[in-house]
Amino acid sequence: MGPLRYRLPSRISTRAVLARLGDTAIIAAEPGGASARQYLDTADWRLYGSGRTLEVGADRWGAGTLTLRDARSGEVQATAEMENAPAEARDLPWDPVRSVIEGRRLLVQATAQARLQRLAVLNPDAKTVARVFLDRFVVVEPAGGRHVLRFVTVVPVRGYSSWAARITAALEEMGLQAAGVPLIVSILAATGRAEPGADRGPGVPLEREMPAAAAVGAVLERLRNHVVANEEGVRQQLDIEFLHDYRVAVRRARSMVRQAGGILPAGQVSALAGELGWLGALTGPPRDLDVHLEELEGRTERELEPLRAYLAEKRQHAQLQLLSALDSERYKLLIDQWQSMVSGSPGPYSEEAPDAGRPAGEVADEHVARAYRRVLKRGRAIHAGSPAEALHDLRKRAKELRYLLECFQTLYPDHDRTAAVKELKLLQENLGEYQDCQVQAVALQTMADELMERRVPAATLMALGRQTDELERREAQAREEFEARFARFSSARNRRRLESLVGMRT
Amino acid sequence: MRVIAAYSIKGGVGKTTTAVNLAYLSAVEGARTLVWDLDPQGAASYMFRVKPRVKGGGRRLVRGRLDVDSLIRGTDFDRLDLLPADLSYRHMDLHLDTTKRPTRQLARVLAPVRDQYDTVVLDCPPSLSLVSESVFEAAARVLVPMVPAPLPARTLDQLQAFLKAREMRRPPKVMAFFTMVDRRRKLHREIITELAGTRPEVLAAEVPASTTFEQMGMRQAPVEIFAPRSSAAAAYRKLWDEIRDQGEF
Repeated sequence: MGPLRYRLPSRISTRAVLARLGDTAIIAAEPGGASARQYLDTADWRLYGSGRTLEVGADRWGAGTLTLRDARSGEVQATAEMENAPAEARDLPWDPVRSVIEGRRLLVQATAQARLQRLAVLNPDAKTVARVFLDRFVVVEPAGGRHVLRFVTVVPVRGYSSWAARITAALEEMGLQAAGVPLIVSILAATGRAEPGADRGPGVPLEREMPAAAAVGAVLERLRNHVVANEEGVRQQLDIEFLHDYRVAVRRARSMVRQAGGILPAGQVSALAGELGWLGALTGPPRDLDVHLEELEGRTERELEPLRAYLAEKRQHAQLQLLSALDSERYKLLIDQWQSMVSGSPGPYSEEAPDAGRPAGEVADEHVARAYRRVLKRGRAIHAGSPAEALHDLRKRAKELRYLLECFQTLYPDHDRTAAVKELKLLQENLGEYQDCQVQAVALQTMADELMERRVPAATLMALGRQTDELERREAQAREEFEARFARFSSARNRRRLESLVGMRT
Repeated sequence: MRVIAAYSIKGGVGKTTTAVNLAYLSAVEGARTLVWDLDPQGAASYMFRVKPRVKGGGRRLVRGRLDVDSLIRGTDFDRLDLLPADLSYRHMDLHLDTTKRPTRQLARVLAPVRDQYDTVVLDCPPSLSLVSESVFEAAARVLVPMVPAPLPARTLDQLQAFLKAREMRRPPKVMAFFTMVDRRRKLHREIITELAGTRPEVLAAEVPASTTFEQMGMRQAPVEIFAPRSSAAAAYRKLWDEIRDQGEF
């Protein structure tokens, strides 16, 4: 039995809880405390994803303690004294946690003022046989709103679980209910935020019978929210993950809009698709540079320094361009246009959008099947002598299929869809590796030319040369593997899997 | 999991005091710590207010017939647990003797909880017996408290000779230290100086004779809890630092 946390509703006072506990067992007060807590995690909630939460608590004298907890039970896994709040993995003293965070930045995801009251439950020998914590959190919103959360947590002592059971029974008799979700989720919920990671994907809840236009609208709204939510992080360059998420949302939206012909009014579709293309293109160069810089992370060779400096300079330049785009009237219009498109209710049947009112499930099936057929057709046409463009084109078609399967994920049974995506992923990895190596090799060549003009040491250019060689080797290997990967993807078995998913022949 | 034994051939030299206080320091530092009270008198169990009783019997426990997990009790302190004593431990030699490889048996009993603890402290009964042999097999460090009485070197010699005769694959490192030291007494000073100069296994930290330790029995808690500023508490902190400074194990 682990710790059990109960939400203390405002109608029940702490005093009433104490009185009840006193009736149940001998209770002794232990030193409690108050602290300002910051909950840290990466932009993509990696710690939470690994089942942990990390908090920095500062008492009233400002001394900071770092506490790592099991997210679900709240049990302390490790603590450390800290002078400054950690900003990245290397600031943490725990290896397993470092490897979860990797190169991501640690961001303050939530803050709360905590006041803790600790009680010991004693048996007749005056031995502590359970603990009860009465915690009060004041969650402050950036805008200034305050939310008070109160909890009673019963922590059993090993070997004395019957005592904890007695206490929990008494609390439940008072009408207290187990919180059921990790503390961080309660804190986020207090300010209207969803469970970490819950709204990261494009998968909004959809029904097969709802009108197709409403389904597409819901997906586009989720994606728009992602774009807006990540914008500040992109602007401030808090972590490269923000730009990545931002870019993925933009590209998913563009793919969705482009495929929404017949579902959304054609005029709106082409206008928005064009603007999303513009935004997607703007995010490309900084993202590529982020990837290049990330690859250099941890490399300590001196000859790589000029390359790092060069990339950082280019990244800064790309950031300025991106910022001026984000500040532009064009961008504001795009976001507004996007909003009006998703909030408009699906109109009556029109020539422009004949599929708008049809059931979403049916329309999605058709789109997925069509996208799948396209992948098969393009893939089958590729032979040993095909140009690289043929594979790049196939990669785009595969991506379209992937986005469809992800955006409409809630229309399909989890298990079948996951299996289909898994196969598609294997093909995409191969195509991605092939094209990325090619693009990177070209980029390195351009860099080498520019660096040569700057008269960097020969060792730097040689290091670039070695990297190019390695990329070309990987590219050749990916090309060689393509045939087998595609054969697997287009196998009768996989085809049947997809056909059964969408309920039609491909 | 690092296993440390508080051990002495003689009784009344401060084994339990050492086991309890060091285990507490280990837990405070963040290590998940277990004290196994092997002494049938159950002094360590008493210190932690846990009933000295093994449900199912000590005999079955050392024979590996009991689920050790269910016998462990949490103490009043975070991360510090206890495997209680049992009166039947007074026959532990006999119980061990009936097992296949008696000297491996204690280590085997602890195996199921290996992943649950970073530090295990064994509080051993005073003797040089099959139980001691099993302790030496299980532990990486053997802490030997010594009172500064004449001929303390003899105790150490006996122990070292015993370990050598066993021809163990990985014999534990012996770490001796003085307890109940009264620096005002010339004899104490002389004995300590002489032994510290000639025996490398003698640690620099020494635990003073102090009424604080007598209070431990009354308070039923480590000295750090009720007298953190006492010389007694400082002595154990220094001892713990010194043990750790001698390398990970």
